[in-house]
Amino acid sequence: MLDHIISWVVFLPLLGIPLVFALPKDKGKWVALGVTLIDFIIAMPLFAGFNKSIAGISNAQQMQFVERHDWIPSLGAFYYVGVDGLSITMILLTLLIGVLATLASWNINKSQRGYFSMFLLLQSAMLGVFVALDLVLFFLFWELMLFPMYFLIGVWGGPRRVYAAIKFFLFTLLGGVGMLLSFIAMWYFAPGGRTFDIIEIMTRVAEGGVFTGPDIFGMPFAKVIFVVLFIGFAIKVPIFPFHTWLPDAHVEAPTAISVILAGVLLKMGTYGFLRINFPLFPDAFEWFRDTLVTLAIINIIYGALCALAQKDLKKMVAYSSISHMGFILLGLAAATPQGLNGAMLQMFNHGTITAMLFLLVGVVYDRAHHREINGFGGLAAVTPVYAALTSIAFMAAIGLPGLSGFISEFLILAGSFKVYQVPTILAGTGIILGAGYMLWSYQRVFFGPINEKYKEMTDVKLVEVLSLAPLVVITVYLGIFPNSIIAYFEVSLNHISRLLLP
Amino acid sequence: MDFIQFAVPLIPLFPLGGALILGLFGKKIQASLGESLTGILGCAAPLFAAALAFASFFLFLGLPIESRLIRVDLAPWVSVADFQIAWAFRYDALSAFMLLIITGIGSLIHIYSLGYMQGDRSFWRFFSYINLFLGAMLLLVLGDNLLVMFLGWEGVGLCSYLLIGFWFDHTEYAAAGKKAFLFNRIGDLGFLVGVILLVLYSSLNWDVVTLSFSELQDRTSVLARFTVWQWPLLEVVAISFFIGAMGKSAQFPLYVWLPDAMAGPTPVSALIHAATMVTAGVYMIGRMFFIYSAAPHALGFIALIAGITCLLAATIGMAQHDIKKVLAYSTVSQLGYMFIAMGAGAFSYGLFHLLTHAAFKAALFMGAGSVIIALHHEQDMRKMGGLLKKMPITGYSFIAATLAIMGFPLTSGFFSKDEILEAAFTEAGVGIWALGFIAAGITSFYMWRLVFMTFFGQYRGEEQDYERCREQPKKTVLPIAILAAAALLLGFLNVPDFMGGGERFSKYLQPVVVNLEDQAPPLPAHAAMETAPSTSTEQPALEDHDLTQHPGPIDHTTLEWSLTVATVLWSFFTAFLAWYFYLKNPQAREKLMSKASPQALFTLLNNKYFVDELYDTIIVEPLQKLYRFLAKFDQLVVDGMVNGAGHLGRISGQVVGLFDNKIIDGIVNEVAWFCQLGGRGFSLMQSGRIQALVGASMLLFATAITLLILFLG
Repeated sequence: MLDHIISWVVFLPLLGIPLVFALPKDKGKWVALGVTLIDFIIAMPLFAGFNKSIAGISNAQQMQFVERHDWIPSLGAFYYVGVDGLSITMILLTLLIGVLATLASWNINKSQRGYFSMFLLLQSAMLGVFVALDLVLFFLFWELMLFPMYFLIGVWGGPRRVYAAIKFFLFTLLGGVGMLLSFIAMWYFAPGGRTFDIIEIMTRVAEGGVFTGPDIFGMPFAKVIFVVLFIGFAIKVPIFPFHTWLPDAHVEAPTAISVILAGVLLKMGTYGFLRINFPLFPDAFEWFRDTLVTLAIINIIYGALCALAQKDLKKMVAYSSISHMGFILLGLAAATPQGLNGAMLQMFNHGTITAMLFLLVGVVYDRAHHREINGFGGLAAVTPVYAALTSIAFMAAIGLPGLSGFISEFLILAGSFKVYQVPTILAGTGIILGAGYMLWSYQRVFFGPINEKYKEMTDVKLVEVLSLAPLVVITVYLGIFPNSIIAYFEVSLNHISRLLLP
Repeated sequence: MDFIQFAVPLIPLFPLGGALILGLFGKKIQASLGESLTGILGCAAPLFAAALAFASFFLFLGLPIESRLIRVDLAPWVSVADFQIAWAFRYDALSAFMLLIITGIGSLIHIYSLGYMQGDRSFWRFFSYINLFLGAMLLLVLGDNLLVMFLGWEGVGLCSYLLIGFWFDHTEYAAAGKKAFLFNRIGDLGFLVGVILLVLYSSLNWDVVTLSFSELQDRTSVLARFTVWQWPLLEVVAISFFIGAMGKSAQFPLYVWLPDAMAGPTPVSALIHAATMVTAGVYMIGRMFFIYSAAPHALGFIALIAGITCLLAATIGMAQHDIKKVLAYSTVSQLGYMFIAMGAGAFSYGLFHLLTHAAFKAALFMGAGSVIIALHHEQDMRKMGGLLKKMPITGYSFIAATLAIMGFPLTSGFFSKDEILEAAFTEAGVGIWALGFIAAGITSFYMWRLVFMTFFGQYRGEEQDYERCREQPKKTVLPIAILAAAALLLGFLNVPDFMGGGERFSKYLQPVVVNLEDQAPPLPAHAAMETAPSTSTEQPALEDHDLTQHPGPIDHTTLEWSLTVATVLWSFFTAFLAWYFYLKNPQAREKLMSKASPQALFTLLNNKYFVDELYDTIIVEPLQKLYRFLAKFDQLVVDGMVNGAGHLGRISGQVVGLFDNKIIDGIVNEVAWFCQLGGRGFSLMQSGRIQALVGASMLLFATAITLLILFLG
């Protein structure tokens, strides 16, 4: 089994789908919980046996737990999966969020079979994206993720769910089409012969190979492909001005789906940058860097300012997500070891912290059936445990030292300052604004005189605590011992840094 | 030595553990075991920490000077490439002394809180917070590197946020907490920039960056060679860190949060906003004196800001009616004194004033708290008076602390303030000295005004309140009395040379903090500057500066004595004015205040020079306009384009469809069919027909794959 451990981890959720249909419909959540938990457990040898001292990335010999089989010989596409430091961190995040999101789906009662089968399909697709080492396979998983997500928002979402789902779908599809065309072009003009093998192409690029294709619309080939790919991934992140699907999708999506969306899906964009977009086109990256920094700063400050203006708690968190993803971009643009490692750590930390924020918003929405920030008040006296948990999550989001978010933001700022001094300081103002919108919302919801309407509101329930507690523990633990996760990806990210900054 | 190694990590762990236990189980403990046991649990942690701190200190004093630096390396914290930060503590003369203040005064304030917070429904929560605060403050002081220090730095900020808004059902209290946190955050950005600058320039020159203070000290001379943004690096670093201090230690113009922070319970004001947290900035500069010693311009800047803060806050203090607000502005003003000392390079004097201020200001705050509780949360001094008879222990302790803060000869404030003013005169310039000197008189005025309005004369509130007013229980007044005694006596630890003392405190700090005037003339930094051509122009200027600083042949002792006498006389004079206007002859005051210009001045001071309003106009309102505009922009323009594209797709679909039906019908059937399909597809997507959508995307996907296989395979 150990030979095929990655396939097992990726496809186990799919195996759960028939079970969801075979059992009575109210057992769906148990199946999903069982499957995601077992998936986590069978992935343990992956984390335990992972060799942290080799980089992978551009070196096929250093990819771990590799499986490689012929898949579509006529295309030269392989079923080629494996992990390195970059992947394994995302796998961990996905598995973790999967379990917690199942718990957050406990109250779903509209066509449960459909919901949980879509949920499991989504889980497989996301895991697949993070292990695929073949462009066609990557694209397949990437698009596969789109369908369940579309239905999960469009069927189980809020009042404007259809609009939000279509918007999400069209945006991602737009990126996906560009991505597909780029992949084809990359295959055709790959340095040193046609291949879809990401690692192989990267090895050649690292040895000095370049994509030499015809100019497209008068622009050099590599730059065009780079930009098209960039847009494809940027939509997922999302980067201004492609971000407007995110607040809508979050507001309409059910809690668990928001958790997955913010926790894992957004990272697929930045993962794509690191796995494919930047290291395969180092020259184009160098050319594009200043633009990337500008976009990062816009994301940070624009997202934070929009968050300040929001009246809906979930929308506020959604915009804060945009702001925090900007920090990842800043670290990527700097491409220094600290910047990249900080960005990677931020990908993980943002996944856990934002998941926590969305879970918490879900708690209050469950009880009050609205999320107007100004519609509450004094909840700290009514629901003290909920208030305490929220304060931890908010403080983590603000980047309070001692909690995980601080380490990643600090590493990003320290790493980017080497390259971009003024943007780094501007990004720092984003931290101040972050404290502003977080504390201001917290104050309006939890402090002040008790709102008579919610005098009887119940505090967090067991299942809610179960979904939040692991995240709180992780947030605190990684604030104190961040090295325990940095160790997994440091070598890989340092390697990418060398590829990007020769 | 071994004991210290063992004890040092435990000192912060005790209060942190206490905070955790009380935070998780405090509610149940209070419900089942009662308030007093909760209180004992809450006080246990700081008392243990204090016992360890004092024991370590006495052992430490027995060590030879060379081995008076103990580093405790616990574990690695963050390591990425060359950047390797450890969980490590540093126990030396400076941190040992700070530990005594924090755990000592902290314990007294915990005991005082037992009485003050009695009957509060969230008694447990209060103790959990102040334990956490104490833990964070201890981390700040013990941190061996800048990042651990920053952890404590932010931790105390968090606790101050939680404690100011402790009674969170009052909206304005909660808002005050938020304001404190945000203003601190603005400063923190400065701190962070300082750290990042040091990381950058260290990593350019060395293989490993640990940010530990010893490492930074060793590297200062090399770092001094660099310039950043056309400024010497160390100047920029020094000013960046000072901006952090301006937020945390409430210096002009970031001081506005501190007076609002008085919304918190009084022990909090005593602990956080007088004795410990606000002095973190002073400590930080003392800790990095080696950087500041090599940054003369930054020192000048600090002295100037500090002088302005000192005088400005003192004048505002004259015109407040709320007893705690007076003390709050007094704190800001006294912090100004500490920073004047830092700016003058007299680091040990600033740290000594930190010590004496911690004692007398904690006593003052706790005394004020005792009065406030006795009068059932009345804080307006206009409704007080004659309380000395009712509350003798509180009253006399308060007067003792007032003597100390006014600088009455031989009290602690006399020595510490005198040293600062003397250093300001000789090192920072007559202008800075004048600011501090004027403020000294004003301090005496507002403090005696407070004392006379509160403890003397006729009671001006409700009759029955006065009847019911009692001296507080022992656990409340005893800590005040102890601190008041300390406020009177602590000064003898550092009697200046010219008065025949030995500056024992400064000498004790010498191994880790060296005042500018005691540093050997060829500083490593200066030596480095000589080799760096870009900054060589600095050298003559520095020497000039040195010459003016030491007016050699003039009799130094005469100068020092005359400064001392002048300050004392000036303070006595203003105390007399306070007595005359507030006790002896209030009619004279009323007559004076009925005139237009004193009234206008009073309004200006009472409204704190309208600085809050200024912030509202130049920052808050534009920011509000900006984010409201951006949110609209995001909704109408950015998202509008997306929706517009959707509509366009739908309309073009319909147009093509129409076109196909009416005009080309039949001629190019297949092409039109395809277009129409596309158009319909788009329109269906907008209207939300799922099947159509899935179909369309499948089609697109299939087409792409087919094309791929057919043409490129």
